[in-house]
Amino acid sequence: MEAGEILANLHPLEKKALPNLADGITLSELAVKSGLQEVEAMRALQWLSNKGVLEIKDETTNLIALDENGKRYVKEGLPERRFLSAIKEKELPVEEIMKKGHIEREELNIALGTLKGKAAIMVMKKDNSLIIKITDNGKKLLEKESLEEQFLRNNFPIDAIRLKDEEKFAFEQLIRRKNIIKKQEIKTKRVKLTEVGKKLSKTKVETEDSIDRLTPQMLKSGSWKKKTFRKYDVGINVPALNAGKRHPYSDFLHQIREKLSELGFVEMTGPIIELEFWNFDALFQPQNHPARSWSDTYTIREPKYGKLPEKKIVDAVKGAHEQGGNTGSKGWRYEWNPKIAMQLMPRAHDTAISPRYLAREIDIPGKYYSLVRCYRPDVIDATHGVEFNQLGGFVVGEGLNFRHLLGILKEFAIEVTNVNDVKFLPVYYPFTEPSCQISVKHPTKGWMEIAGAGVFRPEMTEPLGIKEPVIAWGFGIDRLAMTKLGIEDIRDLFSQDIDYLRKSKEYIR
Amino acid sequence: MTTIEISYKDLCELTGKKIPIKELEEEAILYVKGELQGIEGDTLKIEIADTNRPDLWSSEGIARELRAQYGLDSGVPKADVKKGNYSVHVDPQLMKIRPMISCAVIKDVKVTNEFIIQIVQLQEKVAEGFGRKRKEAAIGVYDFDKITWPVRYIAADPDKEKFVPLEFTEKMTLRQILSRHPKGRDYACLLEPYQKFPLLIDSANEVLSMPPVINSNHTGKITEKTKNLFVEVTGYDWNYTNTALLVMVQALADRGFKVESVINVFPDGKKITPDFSPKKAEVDLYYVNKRLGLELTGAEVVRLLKRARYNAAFGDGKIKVEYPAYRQDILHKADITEDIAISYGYNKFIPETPKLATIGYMQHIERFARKASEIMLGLGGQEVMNYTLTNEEILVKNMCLSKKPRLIEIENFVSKNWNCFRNSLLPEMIEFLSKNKNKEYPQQIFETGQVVLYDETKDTMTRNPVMLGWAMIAGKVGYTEARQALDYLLKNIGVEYKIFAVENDSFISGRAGKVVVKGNEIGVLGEINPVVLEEFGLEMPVGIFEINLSELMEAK
Repeated sequence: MEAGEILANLHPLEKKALPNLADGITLSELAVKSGLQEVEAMRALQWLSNKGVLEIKDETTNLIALDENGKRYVKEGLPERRFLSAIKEKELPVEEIMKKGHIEREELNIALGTLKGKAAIMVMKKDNSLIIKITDNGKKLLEKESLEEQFLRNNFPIDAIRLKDEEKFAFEQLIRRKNIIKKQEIKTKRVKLTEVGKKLSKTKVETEDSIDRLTPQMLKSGSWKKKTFRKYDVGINVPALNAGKRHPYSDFLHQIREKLSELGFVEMTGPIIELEFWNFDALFQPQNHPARSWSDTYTIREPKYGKLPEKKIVDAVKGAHEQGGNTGSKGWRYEWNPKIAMQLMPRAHDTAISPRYLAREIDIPGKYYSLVRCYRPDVIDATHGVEFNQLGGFVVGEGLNFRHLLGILKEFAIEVTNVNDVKFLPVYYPFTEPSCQISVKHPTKGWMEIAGAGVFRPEMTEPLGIKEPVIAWGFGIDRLAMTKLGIEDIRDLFSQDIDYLRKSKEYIR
Repeated sequence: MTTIEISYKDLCELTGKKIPIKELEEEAILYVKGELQGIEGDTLKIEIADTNRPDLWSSEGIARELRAQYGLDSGVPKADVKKGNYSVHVDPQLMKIRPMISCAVIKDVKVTNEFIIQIVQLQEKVAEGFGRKRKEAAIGVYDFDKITWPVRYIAADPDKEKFVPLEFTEKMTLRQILSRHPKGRDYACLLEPYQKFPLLIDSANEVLSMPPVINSNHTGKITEKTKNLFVEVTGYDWNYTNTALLVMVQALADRGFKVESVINVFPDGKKITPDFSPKKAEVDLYYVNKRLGLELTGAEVVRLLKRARYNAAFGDGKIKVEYPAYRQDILHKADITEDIAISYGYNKFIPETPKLATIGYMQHIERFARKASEIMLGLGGQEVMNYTLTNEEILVKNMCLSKKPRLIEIENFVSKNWNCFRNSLLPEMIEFLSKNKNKEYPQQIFETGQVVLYDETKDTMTRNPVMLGWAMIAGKVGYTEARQALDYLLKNIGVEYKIFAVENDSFISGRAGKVVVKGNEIGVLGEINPVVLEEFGLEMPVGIFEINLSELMEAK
């Protein structure tokens, strides 16, 4: 960028920084000189760097600074000096020296050691206590400053590289002692001006004539008319915003609901804690069916039992199980136990809801769906969540047949997954006959089973008072969501990572 | 779903035709409701969807269907049974323990490695799946030539009778087997309630097995030297034991082995097994076409049924059918209709979208919750979605509740982290905040979702209102901020409400309120108590509220 152009579009921070720039100045020096905060100075430097005014060099410096004890010794003197001063006039017992010289116990040994080493004191024993006497050498020492004391008079922090030889000696001595001085690694940002930068730093920066932020005062007074607006670097990044946002899976599920409404389906719902009667018996699943076992369904601690529906329905379901009732079926041929049907359990599949609706008034013809959480005791892994959503329902109407069943499945495949390439597979569901599964050809993942359907068995619908064919259908909605949202692990559908939620892309079907 | 492993070579030999893998995978396997899941060398891993058709769970069973579909065979499969002079006598004491038994003898068996693998697999799958983990049907296969006839099925003293169980070397009492043999441990629960245990024993007092647990090592071991077999199935219900026996014996007959019958002598009479007499049914052509949406002729249906291993004849608008005795899954003409559809080929049907003029709509509470969510989004809330399952520690201990509310707890939970249902959205929302401690603040989250509350007026003893929770965490957040958010929500919804002070263990005393609409308490708000924040490891204040949207909708 040309110098003139740069000059015309400076941010106020840059304007403050620029006149204070010099080749080799550090960030903190610049902050002090310009009166900017360090973060502001840094932003100015980055922008100027983007414009080719300067380069920012990272440097690491080893600094020596005063530590806790060091700061105290600068004021009070090193312990050995205070020790020696205390006995300048006359010999004293150690305890008194400590009191007089404000020497702490942990400082005593180092003071004694140092002074003995320099032959500055004599130690005598008398009545179980130590008496210390100053020597002539000691008296001389008191008169002049030690190398360590000289060192401590430095203006800290100081750069380790710049130490003179005698300073190095003092440094070695002091660093060994407790909390007098410390070494610090300091990362410094140093400015290297480019040619343009050198020129600009000497140019006078106009601060008055360009407008940075348009203010109400300016509008009121009209002062903006005489000024120009500073041009922003519009391509530059600005801090990110966190605002109101839907959870991606919740949003996906809602869009599925909207789609089903558009297709003319009425939403059903049912209880989370369900009677085995509705979850299994009303679906013509025999009471010894393996899917009803402890390992395939959850049970709850208490309450254990709920209330069965009206006797007419219970008797009809019992009849269908035992010998087929009036349906022309052989039934399962066993003694049906109402106590088992009364047991409560967390709903194991969404189909538990359908018989509740079929047993009361529904519209015939009619289209119904439910989209609910279901619960099974699966070991939780990448394909089995703690709980899962199921989408299912039924279509009821006189004259519905197997081709309609395939038609419904295909419609779902096209409307919900936008895939036209489908195939149908025979399958088994305990409560439908015939039953069918649909697979769609995913562009990268190959054939995927997405949904199943079947005509509810007459042993199921007739006891509930429905004579017309009922086509039941169900969708693997969690798997579909994973494909649509680009998720590999099913547990991520219920992500608790706020960063992921804030950054996730919107799903638009 | 039942998954089996079979040999591709064996399957082709039994079918009498080399089936290209692609054809098997895309077409043939659909006739048995199967899916090819994997191929490893000669081994095919196949998943059979029908849990009610044990006859399909073997290479013999799959080949049996394919032979007819390929036109190499037709109608009900043959199984010639020669009258045998063997009997099994059932002890009357067993009537209250494990009363049923169905048996057969198989002669001239050619035992190969593949045959042993198949027969053991079928035996296990049938007993586990169809036989309800051996309760309804447990199958034993023995070396016929080691048995002295007749055989007795008796109720034995579990602490006196002894034998050497399969793959063991020492004699053990029946009770010892239940605790010491691996199979004993697996199936002990089926015998433990009884004073006496079932035992199959021959006339030389040699034990065959202790049904439904384990064979003896002496007679119950099949090797490549075995020439003849004895097969039995025990259980409670003739329908189960007989079906399981027929499934086993049909598979053996398919390999060309000779079948001889056994007389099962029960206290109330004799039953000769196996009995392959086909079962009979009748179905209207009109019904079939109406159900399938097709216009098939009687002859076409007959042809399709014969390919599906039925005998069929058409006359007077009706199709008279005979089907194999092992097809206990056929309860209704709907079942026969499905077999016709499968035989026809699902992908040959022309799908038709039903033209029903219906009006679709969501549950009102869904729409209401959606509206409320939009208001929270307007406040800058991040929507979250937590599980309805959680645990007591989060609901009670972390929330510092001095009194445990009545929670709905899972008895057979898989993980302690998810062993009871939430009765409020708030604990998991605070947990959510605790999982995002190192993320950018401020954080404002909301959730709409169901909770599970005890309610004895309901048939399920519970109800599941939809709640709305709001939680905010930042350096400067407290009661005022939570109240502002609540006011914003309720004013936008447009209800009259009042806030009254309330004492709640989870909130700072004097900074919690209950929300009352038309005299009903529908929510709570306030500033979370620092003891709760400590439990969750949070280091910033939290303002929060929860509203019962179901009740709010009613009040509106």
